[in-house]
Amino acid sequence: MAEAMPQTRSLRASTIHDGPLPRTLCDSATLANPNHGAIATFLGVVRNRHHERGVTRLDYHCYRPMAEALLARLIAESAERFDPALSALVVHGIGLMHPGDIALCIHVACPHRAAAFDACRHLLERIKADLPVWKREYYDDGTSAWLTGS
Amino acid sequence: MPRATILYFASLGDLLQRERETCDLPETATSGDILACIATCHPDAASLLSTCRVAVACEFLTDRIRLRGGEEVAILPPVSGG
Repeated sequence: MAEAMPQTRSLRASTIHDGPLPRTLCDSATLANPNHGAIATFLGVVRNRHHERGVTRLDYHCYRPMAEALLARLIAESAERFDPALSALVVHGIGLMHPGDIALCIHVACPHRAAAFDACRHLLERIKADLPVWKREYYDDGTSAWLTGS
Repeated sequence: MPRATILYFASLGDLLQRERETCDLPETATSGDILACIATCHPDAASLLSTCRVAVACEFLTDRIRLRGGEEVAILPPVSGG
């Protein structure tokens, strides 16, 4: 009698999270399953310098309903483009963050590594280009600025 | 003229010192028409508005749209997520 195939299905989830992302959310093993031989992960971490200026904190704002809808759409678009079996978990943090905090995590699982890497990169670039999220940087000289473009 | 709720974000919200307002817009409009209409009310923001994109009901506006009134129109400065 043939061995039963493991029951797996694509997991696709995305959200906007209030505050820095918890480290547990950044564990890509969440997506591990026997149908997917590769998991690619990108973590966006708050840097302590920007153009030679010391950064003390960031304040992320977003247009939440549009951002949440767009994240889900970008994952569907990536599956269509790179692998219909793709699983993905994408979370963007908003609100106040400090250097070292994780602001964005993208996990992509696919049967093979090329699609996982490509889809992960694609999601990141589309988020950078279109996701309605803005960050205000606060510097160690007491000034601040909205960043434009990514 | 249809009346819409206009949402302002980030640097634009700071410049205009408001996050939203209601505004009468043309019945049919492109994103350029909408931005021009807002710039007429807020000439000090004309330069920043020229860099913004428009979303209606959470979708980027890429074509001409017919407005009925009551829509949520978001004015989006260049994004900087990630």
